[in-house]
Amino acid sequence: MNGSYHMFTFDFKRRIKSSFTYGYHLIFPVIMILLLGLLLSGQFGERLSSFQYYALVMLPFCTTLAMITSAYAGKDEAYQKTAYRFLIAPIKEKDIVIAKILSCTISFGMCNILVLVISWIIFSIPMGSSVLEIILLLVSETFCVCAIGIYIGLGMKNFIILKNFLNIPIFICAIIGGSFYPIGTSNSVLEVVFHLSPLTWVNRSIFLCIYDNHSEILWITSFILLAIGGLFTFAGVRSFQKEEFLHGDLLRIQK
Amino acid sequence: MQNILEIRNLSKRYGEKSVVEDLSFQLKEGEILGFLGPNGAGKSTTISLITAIQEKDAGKILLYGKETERNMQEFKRSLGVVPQEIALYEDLSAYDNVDFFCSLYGYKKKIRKERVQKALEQVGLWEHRNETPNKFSGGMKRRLNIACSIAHTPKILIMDEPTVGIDPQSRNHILETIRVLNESGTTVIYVSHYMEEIESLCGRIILMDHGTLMEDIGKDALKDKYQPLGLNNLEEIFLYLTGTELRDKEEA
Amino acid sequence: MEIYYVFKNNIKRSYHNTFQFILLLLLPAIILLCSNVVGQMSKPSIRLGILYEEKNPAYHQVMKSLNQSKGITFQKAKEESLHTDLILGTYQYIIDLREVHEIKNLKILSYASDSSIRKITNQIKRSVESGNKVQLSVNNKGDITESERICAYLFTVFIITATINACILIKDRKEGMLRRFGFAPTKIYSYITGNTVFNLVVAVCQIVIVYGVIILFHIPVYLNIIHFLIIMSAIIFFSISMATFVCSISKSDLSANVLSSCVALLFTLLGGGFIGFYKMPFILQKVGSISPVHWIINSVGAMEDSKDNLPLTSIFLLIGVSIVLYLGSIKKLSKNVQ
Repeated sequence: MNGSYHMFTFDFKRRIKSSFTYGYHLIFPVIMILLLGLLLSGQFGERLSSFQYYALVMLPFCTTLAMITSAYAGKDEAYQKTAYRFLIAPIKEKDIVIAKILSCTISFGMCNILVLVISWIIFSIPMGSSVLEIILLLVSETFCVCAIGIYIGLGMKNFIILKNFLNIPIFICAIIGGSFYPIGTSNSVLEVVFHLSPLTWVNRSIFLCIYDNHSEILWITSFILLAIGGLFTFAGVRSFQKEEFLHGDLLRIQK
Repeated sequence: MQNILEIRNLSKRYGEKSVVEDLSFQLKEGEILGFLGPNGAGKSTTISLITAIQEKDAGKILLYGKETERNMQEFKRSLGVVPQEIALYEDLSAYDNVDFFCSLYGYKKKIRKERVQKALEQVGLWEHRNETPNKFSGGMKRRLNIACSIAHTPKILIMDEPTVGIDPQSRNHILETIRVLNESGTTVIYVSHYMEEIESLCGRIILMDHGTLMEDIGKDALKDKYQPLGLNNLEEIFLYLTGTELRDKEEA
Repeated sequence: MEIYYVFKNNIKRSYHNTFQFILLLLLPAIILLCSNVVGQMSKPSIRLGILYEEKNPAYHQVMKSLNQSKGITFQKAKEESLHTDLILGTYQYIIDLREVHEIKNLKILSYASDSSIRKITNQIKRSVESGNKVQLSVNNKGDITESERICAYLFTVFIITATINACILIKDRKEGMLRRFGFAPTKIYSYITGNTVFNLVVAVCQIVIVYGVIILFHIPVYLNIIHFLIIMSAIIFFSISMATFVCSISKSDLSANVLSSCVALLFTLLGGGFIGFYKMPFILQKVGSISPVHWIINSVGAMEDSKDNLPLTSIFLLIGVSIVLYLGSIKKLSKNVQ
């Protein structure tokens, strides 16, 4: 059993035990589904309840929040001041990056699947056989988002500044993707803008798969998300900076 | 004694400034080498270059005559480093800390269990193995810091100021541990500003300043060399060679 | 004097993070601009989809009426994504003319309530049968005005930016600066107040920029300058106090940012910043009545109704809660120093 495997299992255990994992990926989605479902119960009809709608759109949104927790996971060793030991151990840099991405993907993915299954049962969402495809989409999204987050946490010098503003583009993408309210437009320019949000595509894929029995977009979206995740994994390995991994404090490095 | 580690013409520059310049020395198997130098001399950079944390600009590092670059993983397996800053997970028990860092060196669970126990016993923390470092005193943290670095029984152990800020009892225990480790075959590079520790532990001393080697000599030979100048102890020799001016620049 | 030194020190520290500082100053204005652009471009209009065959005479009748109509946009709907387009709001309603040759048999597809669908169906049928333009009434009762929405958004943004600024408290606590301050012959409240004053000055600069953007881009905020300043002052007092309190109880800046974002989001949702307060279920209205966003929206509404209105109750309530939060943070940080 090599060090990389132990690194992965250790990181996975840390993620699973972390309160941010439970908070952001279990409790927060459930609260948002219940709250928004109740808030907008009058806006939906008999064919689709507000709880069903929000169960399907909240999960992808909450998955994107994993970008923030993954970025911090990338910085964990720097803040704990144990990064030095990893660098002097016989572990390759790519193993550090991959172990982090995998541990985040699996732990957050498990939480997402749990919320999806609970919502499916409680709110009677007519997913049928589409449930596996939707799980694939969510896991692909989780992988993509975790890869981006780890890349930001491990590879980018401006982490200290970026971390404060990461949630803003996420919230904007969520709003225009329909995660808070079904949003549409007749303006062609705005339509293009709405389609720039990855959540527009993810939410659309889910509903096309369940309600229109078209899963092609879902498969294409999953593939693109996996490809982007792979790209950022590669970028994370290439741009791995020992100085950034060692030091959580940007200002010291700048000096 | 054969050379376990050989440093040849090691150099590192940051822009125009040369931090380590053409540094060469050998580490003989089984010895405790004292590594001295004022702040900003280039000691930490040298250690970073040896441990491959930083890339060197020039030079070679050889382990038993073979270049470490060609087999970095093998070199790292034989190396242990006790960092100056305490590097522990505050929310994991002492046992789990040592166990985890030992696992990074690829040992199976059964062997690891024995090594972790031995490491904790060597530093005198076996009774506290289930406690977390946030409840430890400074001395206990330093000892645990050492345990995490020796559990994988390295051939070479680099210790960067391992006794900073602790009481004499803990310091004495640590120095005793180092002697025991050395007797069991571990070669040690010991970095410290405490001259009495260097005097009591080390057989050979390297003195570095402004990125270059100033002295590479046996401890007794060093004293004999400078005694005619009226310098009777290591501190006086150190101050004579490096000067008494303040070194305000931090090491890179 | 210590308060001034801490404030001055924070200004010097912000020079080292100029990029972040400038971004923080501009953020409320940027968000305001974006939300206004989106709001203007998606002005209330009813989006209809039509499923038809070219040769169908009913289609031509419907098109004749729709072409005369204002406030309605329509286009051919896609059969393969029919349900998804309805659910996700691409179309609010779809007129289904696939197997319909007479207007009286016209079908409307929607995921809205049955009563709403019946109402819309009748309105379209009446208009098309008489050859007139289609006039659809959508229930806007209880919706919030633009000014109220903008103030609710700004409240959320100010809480987030104030927390980013206030995270300096966490940094100083971790690095031992707070302890060092405690060794000096000063009171801890001077340190907290100095940081709060710095946060306040930053917020005032943000408001000045926001007001400039409102004037420059003619953003529909129908409040005079006095009312605007009063409501903004109440917002920034509350957001700064809340940010300071959140940072005093949080162990890391991640948890502080997460907590304040979640709280801001909850306040906005429950307070009616997202959907009209009186459109919410009764029980949520009861819960939402304690949300500061609800007080802000009520205040803005009252000020819009009349220039002489000054909703003192809501404003005093906001300031009162701000003071309680501020005192709470002083107590918590004093304990940390000990």
